[in-house]
Amino acid sequence: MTITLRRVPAQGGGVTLVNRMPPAMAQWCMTDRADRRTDRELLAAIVDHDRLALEVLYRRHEPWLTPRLARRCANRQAVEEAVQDTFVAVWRSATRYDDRGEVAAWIWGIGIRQLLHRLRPRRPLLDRMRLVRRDDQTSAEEQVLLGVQYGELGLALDRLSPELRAVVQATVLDGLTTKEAATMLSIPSGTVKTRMMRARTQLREALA
Amino acid sequence: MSTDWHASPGQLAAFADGALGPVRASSVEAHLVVCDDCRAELSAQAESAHGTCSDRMWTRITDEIDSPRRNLASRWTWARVTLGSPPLAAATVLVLIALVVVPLLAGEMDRRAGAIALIGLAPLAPVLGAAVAFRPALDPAGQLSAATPLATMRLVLLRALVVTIAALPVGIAVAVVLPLRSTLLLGWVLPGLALCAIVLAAGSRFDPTRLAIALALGWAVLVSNLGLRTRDGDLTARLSEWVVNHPATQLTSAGIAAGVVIVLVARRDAAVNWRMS
Amino acid sequence: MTNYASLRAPSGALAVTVDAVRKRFGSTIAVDAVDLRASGGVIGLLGPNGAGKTTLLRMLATVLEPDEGSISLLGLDPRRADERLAIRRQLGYLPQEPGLYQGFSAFDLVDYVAVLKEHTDRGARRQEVRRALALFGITDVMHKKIRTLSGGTRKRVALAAAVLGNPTLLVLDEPAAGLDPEHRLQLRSVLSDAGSRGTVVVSTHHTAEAAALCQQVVVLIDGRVRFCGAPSELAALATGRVWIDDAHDGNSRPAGTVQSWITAEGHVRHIGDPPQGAELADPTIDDGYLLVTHAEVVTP
Repeated sequence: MTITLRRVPAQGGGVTLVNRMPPAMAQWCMTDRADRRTDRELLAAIVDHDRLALEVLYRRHEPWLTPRLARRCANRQAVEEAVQDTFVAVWRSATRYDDRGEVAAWIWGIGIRQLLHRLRPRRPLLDRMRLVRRDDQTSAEEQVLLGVQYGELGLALDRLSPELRAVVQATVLDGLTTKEAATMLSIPSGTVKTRMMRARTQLREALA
Repeated sequence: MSTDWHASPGQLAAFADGALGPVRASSVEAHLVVCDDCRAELSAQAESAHGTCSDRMWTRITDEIDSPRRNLASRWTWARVTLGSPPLAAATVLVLIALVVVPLLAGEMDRRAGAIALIGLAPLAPVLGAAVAFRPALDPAGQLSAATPLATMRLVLLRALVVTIAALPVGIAVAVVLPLRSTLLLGWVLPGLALCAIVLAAGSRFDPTRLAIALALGWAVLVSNLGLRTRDGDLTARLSEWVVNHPATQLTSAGIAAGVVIVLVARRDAAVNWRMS
Repeated sequence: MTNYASLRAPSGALAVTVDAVRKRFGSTIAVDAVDLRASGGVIGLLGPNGAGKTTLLRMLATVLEPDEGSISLLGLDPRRADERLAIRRQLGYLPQEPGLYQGFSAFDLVDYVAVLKEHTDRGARRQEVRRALALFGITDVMHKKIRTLSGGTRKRVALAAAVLGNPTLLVLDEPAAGLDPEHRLQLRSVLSDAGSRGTVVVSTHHTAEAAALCQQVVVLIDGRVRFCGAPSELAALATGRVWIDDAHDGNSRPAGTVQSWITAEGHVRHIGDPPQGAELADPTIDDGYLLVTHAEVVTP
């Protein structure tokens, strides 16, 4: 088991070395059946109805999906059911993954929408059909944030008011469309757009 | 997307507990989408912290996915063992297609031929249904099905019934389209039921396939004989006379059909001489 | 020429009783005056192809009725409708050629068979199907269509369908055929466990497997029982009838030899009536089986 040390840029300068393969993981690797397939390979196997592949994918992704959804919704029960339904949906619609972008991002898309449908009443059929089509391409903003490191951007985000931050999170990080973000936050679409514009302005000013 | 930054185990643990501040949490979330090492660390922590919770959820997930294909048939047992059997459904569809195509094609060529074809073929659909009901080969479980508690005469009756009921509207529709005189629309039903009942009754003793073929040929010969021996205008009248209006035919057919069906239903738990290949 | 031995379970009830059963197909006699008694444990049916094993097993599975003689299964008469139903509720059957529909997934198919076996409650049925599939190691591929599975895996799916509901009487026609060694061992442990709780009747070509697994062995040839007893007794039949020499010349085979073959060490092993002063060898169950198939064996 190789253990590599990596440089971690911390706030306030200096170098902190962090052990990349901590003890907890080493133990898990030895006890787990250690499936070496990539997420993409697992999805391909799920298309072929490989049940074990679904379990491996579940064990890999549920631990981050649940807390992430829990941050959007205080109702623990709804979050659990959404996570469950997400993996059932993965099993049933694995063919819809179009091989672009991370599998985790695709799973997140399913998860957040499962939660959305659970929290809000059913939308008309046409609207729902529009929601199914997803563009997995990340925007430029999202690309920046995905590589976020502690630093100025984090501080700038911190300084945004909660409503602006919520809108940034919903549209940029969660990848929701304006309409979906509006549903999620219970505000009109127009408000989402204006808040997004204000957030962008404030971030640009903070980083300038 | 490679990055030099990774979340520390402490941060991941805090994230899992919902204890990270909003911006840090968002960073970690965004990072976890692209970093499988950090996801693995989170999984390892989750395994030791609350492994049984995720096991329970996995059980609930498998309860959802471990279910037979959902269609109309999965609701009721009787539907599952008849319509839910793809080989049987396919055989039924083939029979019905023949029932539609042959008379219509014949009717294109010659109106008389169409009528003869329909009257000749329509009663045979239930007969064929009865014959195939004896074959485990049309059961998804194949030869295994013959040794199960449900494999009694009841099952054979059900399957024959399904084919018969499917054939009825199709036969009538084709008769209307041809078009056939109204008196002939239903005249073939009772003889068809009678022939089907004969196959069902004798199918345990004699080879139902051979019996069905014999009866089918006999009926076909009778009908085409009639058809050939009459002049053009007289055909429907003749068929009417012999098939529909002739009391003897209809009454005997009704008698046979009713009598046999009553006996079979009474003996519905009887053993079936399954035609194992 | 029939003989039989009976194995009695403590309860005293016989699970399988076959009395002078005869079955004809046209002019061929498939099963000819067969007697069989069994109660508990694993019974192996040995015999060449066409010996009547499949026909006999079909009769034990209540799928076929004998022309003559009587059969009693689990103390019940399969000729009576209500008793036959009761038998089938405790019966598991694996035909030689199951003929499963290839378009179903393994789970769908075993679930379907569970429906045929009157498992009405959906949740309990799902649990039972999972259990049966897990017994044969098919859990991970249970949702794949049967046509995508290998021959050995398809066999195991049929086996899972046969053991649904923990039947008291298991009738299996060549269950090990087509299985690789790992799964054959898995099958063996499942069968011996089933044999400890009920009765298992298995037909097989492998004498070694019969020896390892079965408490009782029946050799069927041309529809007749040529031997019935413990595997050790079958081997013991050949005591004093197996000898080894180095006579590689086929022409000088001693009279009375039933069969000869060259062993791995390069010697020649003979079965039959040994000549004077021949070097006798310890008999194996194969020797006993060969003797029974080739010679008239008279036993008391």
